[in-house]
Amino acid sequence: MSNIQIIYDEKSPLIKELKNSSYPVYNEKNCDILVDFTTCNKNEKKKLLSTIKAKKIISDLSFYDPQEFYNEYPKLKACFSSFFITEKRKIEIYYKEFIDIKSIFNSLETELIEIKQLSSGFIYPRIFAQIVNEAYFALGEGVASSEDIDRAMKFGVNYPFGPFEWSKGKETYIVRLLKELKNKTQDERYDIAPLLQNFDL
Amino acid sequence: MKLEKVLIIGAGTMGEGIAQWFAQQKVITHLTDVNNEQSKNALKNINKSWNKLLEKGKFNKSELEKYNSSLTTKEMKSVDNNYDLVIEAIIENLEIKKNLFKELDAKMEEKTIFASNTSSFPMKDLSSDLNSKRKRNFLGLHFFNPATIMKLVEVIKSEWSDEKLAKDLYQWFDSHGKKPAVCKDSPGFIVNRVARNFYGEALRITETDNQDRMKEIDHIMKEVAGFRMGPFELMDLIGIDINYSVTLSVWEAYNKAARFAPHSLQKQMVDSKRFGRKTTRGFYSYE
Repeated sequence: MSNIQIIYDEKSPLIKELKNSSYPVYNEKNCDILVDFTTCNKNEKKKLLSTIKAKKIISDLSFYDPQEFYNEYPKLKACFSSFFITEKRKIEIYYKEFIDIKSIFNSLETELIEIKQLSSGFIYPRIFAQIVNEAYFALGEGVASSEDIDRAMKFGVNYPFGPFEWSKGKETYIVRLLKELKNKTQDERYDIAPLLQNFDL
Repeated sequence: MKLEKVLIIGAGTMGEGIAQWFAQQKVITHLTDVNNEQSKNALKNINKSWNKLLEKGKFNKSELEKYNSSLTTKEMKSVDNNYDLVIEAIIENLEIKKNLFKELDAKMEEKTIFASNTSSFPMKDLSSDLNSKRKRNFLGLHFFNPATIMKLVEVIKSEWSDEKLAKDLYQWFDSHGKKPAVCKDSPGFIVNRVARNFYGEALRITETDNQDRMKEIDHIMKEVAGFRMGPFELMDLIGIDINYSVTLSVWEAYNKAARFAPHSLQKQMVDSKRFGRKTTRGFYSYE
């Protein structure tokens, strides 16, 4: 039986469930598998992963290029993206090596959905970030109010949420993901809307 | 604001849906088209739809009678001149639309509000030849297909539109079960602009004509994000050619900004006539 431990910070999207979790918080001792829910910036995340003494690591890489982390950290065996979790409470996961961690995510009232190919920000966060970015461009140009943009996307094309209500409180992290995509691709399509740049910490 | 009598010009899919919706609000609705047969066919379709809805119990016979009595078709040459609102839903051709509005301007009473259901042309261009009073009474009313079901109406103000008119129409649609959104006269308005990257980013994630990857993206967008359809399924349903054409038009209108740039895979599909469901092949096969 593997000893699974968890690590998280106050901004982890599943903070309430993580605080009530029966899984022990990382303590460096006898940790076979560490599930990392931290939301720290790239350098802090790298520092964290390099100091962890677990045998295997599974990390939330919602805002980064997972391949870069896989190349640098052989102990990293799977990555997931929980930060932009919706009411469906399903989370994308990519296994470099399969490790059965279903029970821990089920205990957090979430479900894992496996993807077979990797991309920065995975699938849903990346598309979500670009929709929100364009909504901010439109808002900044005075095309419509945020309420009208939300209403248009929900009732014109059946989006589950409007881009502003969907991104509320997550703007800083969307900026982080867009910066990562711009940095990786050097493509201007990831330029950040001026109003969204206000959330760049 | 009272809208008691409306004229819908253009009896294609959108005009038909808009006319049906207005009749269901018990507004006197006239539907016309340059091709009179088109209007008659649209009326037949609407009646079929109402009979189906009656069978399903969505409304009763007396309501159906009211809807029926609200809706009539007219030949273009015999339309009245005293409508509260005229909505144009004809072919997407700027010159044809401008000429139509010019003719209507000369014919219609001063009170008549003019609106266009265009998804591509600026209101400013469509109303530039009209008299100054009419310019104030001109705006975009962009419905979404199917117009009887989709609740959004984009209320698009031109630089000349009367502010009060936009507010009054917003309230009128809101009080009749629609979800209006007011927006500025800018390319793609709200939806066709903000939705571009639902497709564009999905295409960049997949990069190549890789069905497994497309299936994965569609699956994640439905299962994880909660969309009703994934981007590739939706492009196949809309028509890859139509989606590509909207992408090109928005991209060009925004001076070829990188974030609106079409993807080579879209062009590849269009060039090989893989338009989606309607040609039985698109990103997926429907044979």
